[in-house]
Amino acid sequence: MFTVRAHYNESANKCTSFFRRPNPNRVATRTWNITTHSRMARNPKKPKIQYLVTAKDAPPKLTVSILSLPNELLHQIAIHSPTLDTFLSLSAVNHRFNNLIRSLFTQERFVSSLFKIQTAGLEIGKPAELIFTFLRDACSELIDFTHDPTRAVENHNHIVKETYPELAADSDSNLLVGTVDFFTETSRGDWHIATFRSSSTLENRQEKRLRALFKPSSDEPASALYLSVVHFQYGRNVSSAEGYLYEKADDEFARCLGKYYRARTRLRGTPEFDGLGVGDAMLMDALLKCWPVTMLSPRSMCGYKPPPMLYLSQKNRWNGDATNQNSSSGELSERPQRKNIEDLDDVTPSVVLRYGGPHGCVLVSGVSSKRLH
Amino acid sequence: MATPSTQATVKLQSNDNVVIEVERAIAERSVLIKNMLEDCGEVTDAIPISNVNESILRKVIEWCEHHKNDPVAAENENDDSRKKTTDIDEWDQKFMNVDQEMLFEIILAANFLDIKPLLDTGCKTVANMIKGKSPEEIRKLFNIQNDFTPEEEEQIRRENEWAEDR
Repeated sequence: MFTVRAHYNESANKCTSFFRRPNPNRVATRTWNITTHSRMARNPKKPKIQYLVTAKDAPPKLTVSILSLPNELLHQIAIHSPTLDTFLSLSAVNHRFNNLIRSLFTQERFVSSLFKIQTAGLEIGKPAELIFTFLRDACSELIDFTHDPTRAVENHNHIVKETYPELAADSDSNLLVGTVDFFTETSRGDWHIATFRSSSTLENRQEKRLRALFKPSSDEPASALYLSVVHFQYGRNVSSAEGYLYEKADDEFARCLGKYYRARTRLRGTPEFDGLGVGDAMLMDALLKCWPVTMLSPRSMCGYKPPPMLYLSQKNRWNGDATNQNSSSGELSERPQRKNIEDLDDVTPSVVLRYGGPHGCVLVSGVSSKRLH
Repeated sequence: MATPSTQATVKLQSNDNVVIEVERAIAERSVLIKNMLEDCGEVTDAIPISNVNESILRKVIEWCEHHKNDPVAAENENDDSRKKTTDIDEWDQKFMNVDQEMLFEIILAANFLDIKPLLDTGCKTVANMIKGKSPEEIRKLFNIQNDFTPEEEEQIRRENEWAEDR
């Protein structure tokens, strides 16, 4: 007696292939004990006998594989995917998985599940708050303003090319920073959610898909859309400077968050963020839930492709003084003063991250501030 | 509805006609059996579990025995409120350390018997198996045939490109 493993073909009522060593990649196997010719036992590499296993020896039913599971169970497996990479990998396995992953029902559940995983204890259904909390907790470590707040406000018209030292250590994550714009007329606790358009040209199919997702009110082409969320921490008539944080090499289709995660994983050893994780969940959530976004001068934004941005809010400098009145109209009356390291408490950094892809771009941002801890 | 029964054990009959006697409290981890017992009251005959064979039924009972004191999840608990994917109890991890065929049979049995925590554990186990794998690796792992044309594959690759690392 010796043991062989074989594939059983029920319709043919026999086993179709045999191998002596279990193959971990083949799941449709069972083990039977069958009597063999002594010569075979001595020289198993050169079998002289054709073995057949009849139904009497065979298992009572067909072997079970993942494809034996009904769609409702495959759906549950898919929504438990630990990362977006894994979730998307499933879509490329075969037609059945592809149809499953492409269903909005599955995608929505996956996003909810991922939110739940990475924002345990937070209330579901408030994506802006989730983004804020995530950015506050996850990003503030690396984007440390003790190193460069003064550089960030040094020149609002020009990009100040400085590299974050922590990320610079990672060769593919060189980031730059600079300031360009100001928010005005905001109240404490306001959320600013906006979409931007760029002049990217998409195929008709992509355009339709994007319109279906964003449901824009106008007839303008959806092209590349950007979605931005900002949380303001100071009262009305306090301006917030808007800065840029972008990749040194190519700002098109920047995937800062993905790189950030990876850099962070390497630097900080936080394996739970080793995938694209919650950032992608936020993106998908934004796409799938069609947030009630406010269009921000879409025509004026044509051709404008904002890179990942960094927001600064400066409480003392513009609060209630003459400069603030001017900045309410969207312009600066004077060049911001260089700030000292001691003034850091007045700087509220936030991070905006842009996502790109063949279907356009989405910008997700939030405030990252140690002040709110 | 029949009057509630106080019987201590129930008999379960697998699809290969093996009768297994288990404590009622253990059997009632299955919502299917629990509802059946509530509807029928005293059940002296073996309850046929038509979709589950003996080995899987014993395995499921083993899980139910270990978890018999676990709090029962609320009925309206939805998918979103489940635990973190990688959060599988150590005992459950060992329990699920079986060959793929048995794993999927356990999942099917849990689904049939309506044992949500076991079903969750099974699905999470499979999800963890595919973590970080490429489509080709997933196909290899589960012996799945690639039924895409090269054009379709290229299309999907382009669609998923935005999430890839560069």
